[in-house]
Amino acid sequence: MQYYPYLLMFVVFDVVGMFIFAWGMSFSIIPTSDSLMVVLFLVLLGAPLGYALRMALNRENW
Amino acid sequence: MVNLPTTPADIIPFIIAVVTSHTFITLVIFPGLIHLTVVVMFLTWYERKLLARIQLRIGPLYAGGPGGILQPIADGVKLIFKEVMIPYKADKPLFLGIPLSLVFLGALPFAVIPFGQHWVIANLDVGLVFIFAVTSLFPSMILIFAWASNSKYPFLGGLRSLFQQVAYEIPMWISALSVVMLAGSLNLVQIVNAQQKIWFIVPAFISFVVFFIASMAELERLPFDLPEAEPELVAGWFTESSGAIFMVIFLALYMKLYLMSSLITVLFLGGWWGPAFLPQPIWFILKALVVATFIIIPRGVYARLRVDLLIKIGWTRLLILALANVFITVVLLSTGILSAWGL
Repeated sequence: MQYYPYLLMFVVFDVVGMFIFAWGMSFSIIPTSDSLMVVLFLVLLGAPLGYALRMALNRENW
Repeated sequence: MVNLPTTPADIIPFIIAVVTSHTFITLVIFPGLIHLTVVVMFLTWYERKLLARIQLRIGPLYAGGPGGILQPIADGVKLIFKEVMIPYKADKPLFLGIPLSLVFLGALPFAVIPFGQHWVIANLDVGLVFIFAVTSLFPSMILIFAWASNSKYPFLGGLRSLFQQVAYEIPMWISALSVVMLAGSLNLVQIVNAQQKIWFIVPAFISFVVFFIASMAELERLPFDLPEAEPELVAGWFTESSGAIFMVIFLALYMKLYLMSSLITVLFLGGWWGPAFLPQPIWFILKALVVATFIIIPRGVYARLRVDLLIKIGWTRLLILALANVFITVVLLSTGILSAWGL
């Protein structure tokens, strides 16, 4: 895989990092339903990432 | 609060009051500058001795007393008196200034590292973010220094340093997220206090492993020392540094080694907590030195990774593992399994 997709992912996760740290800090004081939304967001973010990386590792097609 | 002297007779009591104040002691003696300098000097000697033992050599022997313990001082004196070579057409202000800023960046995060319940210079509520913010500046400064050297090998090393940051930084942050969730705070004193009953290495073991590996990449330690790869880049981004400049860069690098060891101690190993027969700061320093030992050991054992492998490991292994530990932490905290330990 070329370098620029990693850079794009880096920027995405850099921004996400700021928000999920705020969530992580208040995890024990916010309702579980609110946390579930953030977990769902992380899954939605992580699943395509995992799929894309798997494809990229199998075939150098990026 | 110390009042300023109004008469000449007040000057000596004023100096005594300043020198014995908690602020002065924490800033200058412990955990401030003197403590940092001594530990960094010790680490340079300790690394050489440890690697020598791993490779069946003796290591420093002749300088000073037992085991060549004064070798760092001999090295320092030698480097101070050596000529500083500045490459032709190098950017002099940056070439001379960046190494000093690296030392500043290496020492600054120690202001928020708690070595004991009351042994912290600045008890910031966002201490963890502050450390991440300061340490993430290192690769950029390294690239500027490498560019200022006006030489191809340092420049390639500087580019690799920035390249490497893309691989390790996100997994490192995400692995620290589990700790933040367990402690419910970004304040490092509160994070350590939350580990009074159980160290976070137990519920967040995967995060600990990821953070440790990412720390080694952050420190440019083998097997992740791509920016300094000797067979390919001479000495990487500091190829053109010599004399006192070289010494200052090494000071910054060893400060960073101690910093990351201290950060791992704070986040995962219970910080200053330990049996009461030793003072809190001693426990902290001992734990940090044990972590530093495990960071140093691979240098005597492992080979260097290829450039593309590092970024693949960072995104396909470390990040996935760090995210997995976040989900595990969500389950542990939601089900109340850790409530017996006050979490």
